[in-house]
Amino acid sequence: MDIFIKLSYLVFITIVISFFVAFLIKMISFFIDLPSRKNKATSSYDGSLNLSQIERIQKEAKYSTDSANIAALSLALHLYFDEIHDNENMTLTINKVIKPYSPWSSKIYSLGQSPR
Amino acid sequence: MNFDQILGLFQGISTLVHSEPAVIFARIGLILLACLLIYLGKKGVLEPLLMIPMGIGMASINAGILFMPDGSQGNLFLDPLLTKTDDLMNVLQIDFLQPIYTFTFSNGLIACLVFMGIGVLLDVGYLLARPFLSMFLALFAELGTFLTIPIAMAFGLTPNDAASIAMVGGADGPMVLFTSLALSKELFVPITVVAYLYLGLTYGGYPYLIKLLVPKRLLALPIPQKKNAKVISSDQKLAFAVIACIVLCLLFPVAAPLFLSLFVGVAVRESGLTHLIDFIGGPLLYGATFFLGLLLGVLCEAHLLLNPKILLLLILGIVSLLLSGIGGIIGGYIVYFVTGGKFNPAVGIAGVSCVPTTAKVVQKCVREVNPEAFVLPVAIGANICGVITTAIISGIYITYIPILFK
Repeated sequence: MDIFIKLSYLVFITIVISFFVAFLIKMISFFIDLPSRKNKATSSYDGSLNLSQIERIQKEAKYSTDSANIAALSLALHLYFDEIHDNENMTLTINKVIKPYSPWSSKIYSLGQSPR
Repeated sequence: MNFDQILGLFQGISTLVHSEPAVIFARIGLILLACLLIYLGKKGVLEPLLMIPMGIGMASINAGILFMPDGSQGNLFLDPLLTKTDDLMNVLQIDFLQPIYTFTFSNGLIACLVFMGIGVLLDVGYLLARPFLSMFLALFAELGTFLTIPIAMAFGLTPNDAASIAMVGGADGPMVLFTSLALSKELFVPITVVAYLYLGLTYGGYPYLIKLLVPKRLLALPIPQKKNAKVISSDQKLAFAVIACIVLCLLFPVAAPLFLSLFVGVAVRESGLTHLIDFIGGPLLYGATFFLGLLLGVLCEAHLLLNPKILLLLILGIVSLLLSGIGGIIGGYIVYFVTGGKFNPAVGIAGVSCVPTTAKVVQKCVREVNPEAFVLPVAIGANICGVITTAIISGIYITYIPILFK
């Protein structure tokens, strides 16, 4: 019986601390999210789309018959998913530029004469 | 030249022949077990990252016994029972795994390094999205960690030993290693070996438990995604890692190394330090895991494991994991009834903190019945929370078990 009382004490401490940690997590999320909630009231676009906005865009794209709207929505989605990114493509392509001949850039006229 | 002299040239065989019958059978049995572990690891039934080095280590140590200069039997791998500094300094220069054992295994460093790697791989966003639900499920999934203590004490184990073997129910290898080093140093080798063996079995055994306890109708339930699901920023995750680390270290300084290791990994990940992420999540994690498996295998030497308590530890380990799985499903059922049937009860088992194995097991079982159901985000949240609750329980046990059960 004594063991179960002590075990209950351990269980109780565990529950209290675990829910305290869960409460802490909720508070952290709330306080860090506070500035972005204030900004949302003033700015119309914060650079991120949530699930309902994506669904609304998809719904509009599905039911819209106006081709300009469709083109605009497609471009917006393409830009959002493909173009706005942090990692750049590291491929460098060096195009050879053919320069026409000019005596001003010719080496033989610019070489200094050696003194006699 | 007689037969004994010829045999003396092959000391591995000679020591086998000149041992007691129990040791002979134990050595041969462990070699065969090692081969089985390697086979099961290769097949994917058990975790290959651990089982392959562990199996080869176990086979080698039980084959490579020789006669030491004083006439006793020993090996050139390591001696885990050395305590005198002079002897230790001598052996450090002879046994090739002794430095790794002394400086990383017996002080818990290797467990902390593995935990750092786990922290880097964890995305705590799933936990931050649903903290109370995840914590609720994780607490129920610790049922085995609590209930195994009185069961183990009823079988004659001391409170410290009982708490160490009960930690197997938390399904967290580094935590089991750390707790048993603190509470039960004489048994930490067999307890840790049992823990890692059974953790591999969760992948094989838990699906049957889910199918046994959750009917198909409930197993097929999808968890509806929130309409305006908030995206958790990396700032929030970093702040959580820092504050949770400070608070938990303040509450349980004895488990502070584990908390630091886990949350430093999370903090590095959320800070976007790509080189550190690659280093900790790659060479550090896999190096630590490799040496952990190798050392566990090498420690499974017949003389060390011929402890009458081993069979009891094997049984208690499996009881602990079983009770934790059942507890998780009970938690899932409670949430199912509270939400009016909108929650899949099988997700509760993901609170058992074998990250991400149990979450994957749940998703796999649910998908078999309903291919369109996607429960992984909720399962991962509970899974990650399970790591935190196991760390909290580890700290509580190390702090309070010696005080309460004097």
